Amino acid sequence: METGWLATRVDSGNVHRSCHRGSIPSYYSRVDASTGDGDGAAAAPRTAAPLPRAPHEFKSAEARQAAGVLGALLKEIGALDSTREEIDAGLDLCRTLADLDPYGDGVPTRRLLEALQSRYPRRLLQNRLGVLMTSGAILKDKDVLNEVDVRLSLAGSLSLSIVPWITSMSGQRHLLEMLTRIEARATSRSASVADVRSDLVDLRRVLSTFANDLRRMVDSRKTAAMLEYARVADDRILRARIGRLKDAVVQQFPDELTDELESLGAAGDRYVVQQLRLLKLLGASRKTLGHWVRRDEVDEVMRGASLSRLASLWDGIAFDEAPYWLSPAQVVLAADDLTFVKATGEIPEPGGTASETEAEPPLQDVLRALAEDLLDGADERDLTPMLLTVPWPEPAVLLAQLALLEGLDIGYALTYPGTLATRNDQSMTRVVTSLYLRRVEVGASVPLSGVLL
Amino acid sequence: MNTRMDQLALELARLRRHNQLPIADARVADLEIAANANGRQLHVVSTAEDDNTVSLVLGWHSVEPAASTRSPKLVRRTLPQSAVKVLVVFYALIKDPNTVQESLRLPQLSGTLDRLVGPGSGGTAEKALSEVLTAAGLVVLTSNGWQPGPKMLTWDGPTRAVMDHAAERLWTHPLWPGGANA
Repeated sequence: METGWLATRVDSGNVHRSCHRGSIPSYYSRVDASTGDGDGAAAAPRTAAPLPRAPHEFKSAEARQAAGVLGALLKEIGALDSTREEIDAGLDLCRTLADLDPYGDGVPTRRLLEALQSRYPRRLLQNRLGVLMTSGAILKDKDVLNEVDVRLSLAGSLSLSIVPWITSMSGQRHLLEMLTRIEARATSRSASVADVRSDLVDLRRVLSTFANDLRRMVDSRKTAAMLEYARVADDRILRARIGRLKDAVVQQFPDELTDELESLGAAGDRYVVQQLRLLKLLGASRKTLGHWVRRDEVDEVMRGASLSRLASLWDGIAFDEAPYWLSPAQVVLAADDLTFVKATGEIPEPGGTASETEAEPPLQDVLRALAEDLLDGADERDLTPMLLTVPWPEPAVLLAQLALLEGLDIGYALTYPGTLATRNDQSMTRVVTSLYLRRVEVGASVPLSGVLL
Repeated sequence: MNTRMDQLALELARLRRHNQLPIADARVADLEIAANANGRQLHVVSTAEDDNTVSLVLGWHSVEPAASTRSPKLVRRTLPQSAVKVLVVFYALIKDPNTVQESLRLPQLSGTLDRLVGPGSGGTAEKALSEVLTAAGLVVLTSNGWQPGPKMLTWDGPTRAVMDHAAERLWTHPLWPGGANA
């Protein structure tokens, strides 16, 4: 092992690959072993270096994607930080070389560069050719100093398929490809439990990471990213594929991978839930979406975007907000409120001060007049005959008024001798308790209680 | 779609969204033709403290139409009633013939509102001025205080008549500054 951190990491990567077919615990034990011995101790100062504050600013999205995928192999980022044109030029050099040299006899570099100089600057082509030759993708035909013929190496031919795959790989597509590969292995008769377990665990890790990434994207309401993602995402396909894989694994290895399948199912559910959330947001009504399109994002785009960019962002969502409008009716209403215009109907005044109530005599005067009328100058009066003879409901009204009078304690009291009086009518018999009204001293009356009739 | 049309469409969009566009940033002739073709009219206003900054405002040829839910649909955002009250008082103070002034300070406006509708209107006035009415382009904050915004400066005749009528009612109110009970 050479020195330090990179050697340790590369070695641990090799350990990972070699243990990929083996059980997971063995992988961890090997890594621990590799970092726990003398090499691990030598790597300690390097790992203590300060962590970067932000990711590298790549010149192209393709380079960022490739660096993310190959990060575990990288010593430094700059080597991968190519522009899109540089990546395309490198690939076209390999393609053209393969076309010009089908039998591997070698092609002069002058011819190779001439074939591509109409599409790329000469200097760029020479630079890329140098990089490809350094990396071993393109080789000199003979190992002599002035040799100018070159040929494509096996590694260079692999890059023709692998580089476009790495640089354009989307999450959903990669997941589906992983599922295809794992399903093929799970249905194979020669597959071992350890291999399939390792595949399932890897798939679960990728699914969980994608679910988290998608959740952040939806939470941040980044419209452009969401639309781009939704173009390739299809939760139904993913659910069906995960279900099919689980069925295949259960059929091949019954009762052996239950825990892994359960974890995989949970991760898959999380991912699908986030996908549904995204699709629900994108499928909501225009009115709703108008609220969640971030204002700063809209302003930023409006400042410099082309119409095609505007259309891709806003098509089917909302163009902009409706302008404010000053309604004349609102202005009139506001003026009414501000100037306190009275309503057309009269508002009744609070009770107690109205002239109508003042015109009526106080209640106690009315009751006193009633009592004096009944007593007719005497101190006591038997009201029983009246209760027996006056038509109903006057006896009840009279009794209520007299009870109130006695309660006012203004010099009148009611007395109940405790006898009943009856009067036979043609169709019925009226029964009342005997009742006397008499004058008393103010404060001497006892409040009425009990049933009277 | 060529770049020239792209720029014109973007300028119209910015004009509509931000209520005004500095005249230096715009191709006035092209914008005017495009606005006229859509039944709109370009106004040239100066809302800043010095007259060097002149802006374009998108208005209507005659009366600004009300919202319509039937075809042709026209979506409108009506102002909150509390903001309309603040706007009416603001307009009445600016147009008051007894006190000629081009801008208002917040205490003056909130003090008048307090007198008319009761104490505690200061917060409402500040919120309405700085948020809704500014977003609607009806008022603008300068170093001298609050001034009429580009939209207010380009009101059509009927809208101005309604606001004038409301202002006159306020001027004759006993609690109006300088009134009988003020």
